Amino acid sequence: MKKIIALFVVLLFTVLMTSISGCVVGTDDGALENSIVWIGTPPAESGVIEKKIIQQVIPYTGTEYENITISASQENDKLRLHVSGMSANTMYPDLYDFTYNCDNNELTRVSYLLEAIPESVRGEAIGIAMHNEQIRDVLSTGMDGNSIPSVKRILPETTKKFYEPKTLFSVTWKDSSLSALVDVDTGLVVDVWSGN
Amino acid sequence: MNKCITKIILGLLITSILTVPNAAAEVPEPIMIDEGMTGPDSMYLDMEMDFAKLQINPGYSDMQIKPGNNDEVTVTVTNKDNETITAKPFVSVEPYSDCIFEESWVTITPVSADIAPDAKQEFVIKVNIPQDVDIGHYSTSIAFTEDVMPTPYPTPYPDYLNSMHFSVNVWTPPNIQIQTPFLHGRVESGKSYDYKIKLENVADKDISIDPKIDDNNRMYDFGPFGSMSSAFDDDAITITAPSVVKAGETAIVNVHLEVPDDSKGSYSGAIDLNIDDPSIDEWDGQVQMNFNVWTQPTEPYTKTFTTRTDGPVTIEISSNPFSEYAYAMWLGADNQNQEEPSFDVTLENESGDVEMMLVKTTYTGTVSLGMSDFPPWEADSTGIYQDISASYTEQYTASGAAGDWTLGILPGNADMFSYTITVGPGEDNL
Repeated sequence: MKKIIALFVVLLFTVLMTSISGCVVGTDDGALENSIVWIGTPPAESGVIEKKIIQQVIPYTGTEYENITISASQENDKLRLHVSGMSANTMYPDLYDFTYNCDNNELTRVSYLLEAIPESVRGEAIGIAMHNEQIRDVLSTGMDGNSIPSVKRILPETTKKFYEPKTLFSVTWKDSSLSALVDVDTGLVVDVWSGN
Repeated sequence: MNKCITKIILGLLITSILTVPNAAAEVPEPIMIDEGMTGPDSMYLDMEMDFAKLQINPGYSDMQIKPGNNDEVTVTVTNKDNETITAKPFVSVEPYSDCIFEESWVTITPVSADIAPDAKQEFVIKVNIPQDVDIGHYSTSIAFTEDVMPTPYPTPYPDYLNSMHFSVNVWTPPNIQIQTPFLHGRVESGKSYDYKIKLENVADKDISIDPKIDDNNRMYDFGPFGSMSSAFDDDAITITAPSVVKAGETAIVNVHLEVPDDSKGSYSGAIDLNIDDPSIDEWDGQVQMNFNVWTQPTEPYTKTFTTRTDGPVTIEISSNPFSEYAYAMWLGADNQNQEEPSFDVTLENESGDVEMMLVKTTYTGTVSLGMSDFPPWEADSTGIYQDISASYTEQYTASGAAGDWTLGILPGNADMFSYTITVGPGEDNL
């Protein structure tokens, strides 16, 4: 009987470990394990850095990074890290820039450009933006804005300055200096920027 | 006696002079405005009027509430006056909006409060949306005193001075998901295109649809510079669709576009899917369309020029770096169809066609680090490379001879191009 219980525990443990390994999935709880590729020679602290990066690069909910590539360059007493997360069902990657302070093991995200967005979500964001009267007025002139806009995921740390701290999408017609900040949850354009 | 009378008269005179300002100060300040009064007199009265001075924070509140749910916001009211003010908040309904905000949806606690000078009072405004309320944007004002802005003309409803604007978006998750929310791209005159709008019914009941071209499409033809004609009429578009999207299933709305031979410019409009479900409001049930019509030329552009030497002729042709092709042209809404620009180039002189040799192709791009001219919410991408524009260049050479020449360029997949003609040894030939 004890052997059966022990076997069951081992089996349960194995199933749990298998289910949580293999990829980084977009959840609110943070990232798990995945395949990381270093471009060039990894720094001595690569193991620590990988663990910290995994905690800070979160793909869009419902997508997963198939692999993450990191390149590092020395900048004074810090490491400058360029991170790219690629997903199977998206056209573009998510890009992050970090600095890593080797003295205190502190990883700081300095920039991000997140375009690893499923096509359905991308289309939904553009559709919501095009419902906006200000956006529609520019597009309907026919002079500008005929290009397909870029769609970028904007993180809550940024959106709290313009709306509220939640993931939003920036739909931008660069050639028209026109952009809409879109909330796909509510289907609303929460802000419009016109550089002209 | 005379001295006494004189003193009394003088005393009364001085007293009367001294009391004039006080008497004047006791006259109630007029705040009633004659409806016919306009101009400087009314402005003077505005400046002199007496009203309670309250500071309301926030001055604007926006809520998203589903039918049957509620939400609340706490508002801080500060007395900026020099006397105690009784704040008694109430809902001031705006009667002419599309969605009428019902007073009964709001409860405010406390109902009333006496606020001493410089003191603060918090009011909790709770909004209960009944289950049967239609989705939409509901706006109202919540006033804390009866003071109104005097106006020299009648207004449809009073403009309360100590008030905040209140907006509630009543929404429900849509039962129909429009998986193709827009049709957008460049189309060629004389050609036809077929688009599919996918609709998924995620509800447990069948939902009726009746897709039609939106009645208001042509009202958007009035731009900032006056009337603009559309590239083609709405009847260039034919819509076929089922009348019902069954529960849990996906339906396709087929959109066929026949671009007339003579169409030019752009078309902007919408298809109203007429989804018969309260979870979809008017805007959500539309598919926006934006087409830019262009005509693929069949005859080449020609340029004549004269050479005075026998040096080689170098022709360089570039696509417009900001053309649509720089951003990847989408001919369909759901499939990316990126096409490279190309050029058919011919060269003639007095002897006939001259053989040209393609010696170089160049791809040029502009890359930004996001330092300027980006929306403020993309500022956190600063420092990461972003493609801004791209251009394609072809360079040809031909043996030269003094005389008259004709250059012919037939562009493909390029709505704009530039050319350079160099006679004599170019940099590459030196």
